[in-house]
Amino acid sequence: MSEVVLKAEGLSKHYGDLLAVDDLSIEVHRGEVFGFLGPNGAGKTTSINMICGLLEPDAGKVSIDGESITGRDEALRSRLGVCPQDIVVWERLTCREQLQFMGEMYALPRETAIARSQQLLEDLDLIEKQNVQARALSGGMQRRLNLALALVHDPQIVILDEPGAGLDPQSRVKVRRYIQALARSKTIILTTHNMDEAERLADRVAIIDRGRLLELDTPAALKRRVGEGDVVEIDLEAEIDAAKKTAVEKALKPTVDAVHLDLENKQITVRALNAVAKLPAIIETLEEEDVPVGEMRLRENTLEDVFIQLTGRRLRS
Amino acid sequence: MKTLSVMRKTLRELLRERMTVALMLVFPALLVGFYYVSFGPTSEGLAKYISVLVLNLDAGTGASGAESSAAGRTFIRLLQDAEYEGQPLFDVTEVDERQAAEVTLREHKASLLVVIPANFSTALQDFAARNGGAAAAEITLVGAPEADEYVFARSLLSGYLRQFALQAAGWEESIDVRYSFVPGTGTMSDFDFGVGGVIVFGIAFSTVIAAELMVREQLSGTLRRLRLTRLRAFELLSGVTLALSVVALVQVPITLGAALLAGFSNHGSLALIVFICLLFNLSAIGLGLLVAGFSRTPADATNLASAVLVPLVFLSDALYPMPKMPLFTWGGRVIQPYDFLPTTHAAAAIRQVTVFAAGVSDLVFELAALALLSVGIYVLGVLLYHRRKMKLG
Repeated sequence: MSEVVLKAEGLSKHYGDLLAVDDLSIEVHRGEVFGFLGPNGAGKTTSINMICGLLEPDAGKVSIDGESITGRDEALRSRLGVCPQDIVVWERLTCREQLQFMGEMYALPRETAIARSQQLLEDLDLIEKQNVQARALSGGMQRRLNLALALVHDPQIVILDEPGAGLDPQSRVKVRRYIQALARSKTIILTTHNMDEAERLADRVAIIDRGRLLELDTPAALKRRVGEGDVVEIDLEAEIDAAKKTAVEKALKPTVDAVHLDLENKQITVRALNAVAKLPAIIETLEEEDVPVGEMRLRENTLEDVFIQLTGRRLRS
Repeated sequence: MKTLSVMRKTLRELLRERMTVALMLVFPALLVGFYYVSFGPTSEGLAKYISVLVLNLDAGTGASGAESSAAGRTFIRLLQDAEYEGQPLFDVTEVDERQAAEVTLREHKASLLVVIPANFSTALQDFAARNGGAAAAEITLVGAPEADEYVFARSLLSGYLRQFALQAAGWEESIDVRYSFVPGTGTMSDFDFGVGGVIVFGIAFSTVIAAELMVREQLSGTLRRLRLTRLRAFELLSGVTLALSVVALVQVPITLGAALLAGFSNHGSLALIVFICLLFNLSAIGLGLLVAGFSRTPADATNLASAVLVPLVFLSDALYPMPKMPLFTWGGRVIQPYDFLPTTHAAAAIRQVTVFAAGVSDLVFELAALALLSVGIYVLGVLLYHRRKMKLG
């Protein structure tokens, strides 16, 4: 079993009458990318703020490597690096100045702060802009600087809040690759609304809503278990009549969650969780019903389907 | 050391903002110019209210009931009863000590000091008895001649003295008037008097700058970033304080230099002036932190800081003498409402240094009051800012 590096147990937080986080417990394993998903107002930011020590929980505790963290435990807290969703930089400092400044704030020796700054400027393609004030950088560069500021002290656990927000496709790919490279040596907690990003990057995903943890598993397992299921489209080689249609629907019902026969277009559409595993049974049923099967297409259940299934379709205020 | 890193970072940010640099370094120098035009040597203002201090040393004639009939006492009553259009002409205050009275004159808190000598009654009596054949009684008028109200008070008093001499001894010549100036005031103008206040006014802008800096740090999210590093409030705020102190170190010589160019003469120690400014700067920064603690946006900070800055400067004794509003007496000093503003003591101390070459030993009260107020306000600012902006929620 993977080693637990960060553990939150029974975290709760009220804002007046509003229960923002309700008895949240998660374990993050060393070296994994942990996706933290939830709609707006679900309690993600409050949870992250409690985990990184900016907010005191009403109940519960957070531990890193088994050591419970308290408000002022400098050494333990510096194992965390946080990259906020908004661009948080000092506009009138150059890239290099602010990286070195943050290094000094994390009590790094001056030489180490200089070396780390240099490395990050190179890794995130900011070296040419090292002496440019942040206010003169493009949005994408500012985002990369934002990320670099979270990493300057070489934290063991990195919390990335929407790292891809506001990036053009090129920058998004660059940041994604950097996160993947980062994941080889660090534990990453990733909050995002981008399901594609979460699916590509996260080893495990926690979905929370209304302050409660709804699901926690790998994206693949979640897609197998939750949602409307994979979509299988089967073209028919010949027309079938209405009586056959009824018989086919009845025969497939025990295997799949939903079935739709489009006689006009000679197509059967079925939805089922883990449809790939059920595909042989579906084909066998169709053959038993003597249905002429042609081409088949499979569209997998997505993490977005899982997310929507769990959190609903209604907009949140 | 984190404090020094914060200081360096804050200075870099400040110096890259042209408006801030202008506000902190150029504006006070311009203010000196405005002040020179308004209150320089050509000003012709008249005192409307004449405050007269009287040091009555008159021992009387030695006869029974001499105390009540002593000429000095009679003269004081004459001054107290003097009226113009039904209102008292002089605000007469009796004092016990010449030195303290001269400090009051230097601070332009009184127009004139009348010193009545011990032999005043006997001299007048002799003069009358010998029909002018004896030496006249002497009375000394002490003042700061650069003050308009001194000149005005002196001429009015001279008339009353002649009237009194005639009544008391039958001869106007029975009293000789001697004039004495408070040391170092002979060539001082209202401009000289106000330069200390202008220097303080410039430093007071630290309130606005500190408030804006801290609110911007919060609004941009960088304060949150700093909190994640476990940076302590003390380290952050002392770094900002050091940065603003460096700015003050540059600002004071510039302001003073502008004043010197306009004809101001500094007779005191520049180091002591800078020390007073740095002490006052603490209170200005403390007020800025209080403002930042209650502000959500830079606009809030600017508005609130301005609302603090205006009374801080204009309700103090910094730029012009305030009317008397005695609250109580403490340690031989009359405490007035504006004594609770650090600006009052900073300006008074700088004025004493620049005009009268006062040293630390001459400024014990002002420095103690300034230190007490500045440290108190600063500590309050730090505590409030920490509580409202940096404490765990």
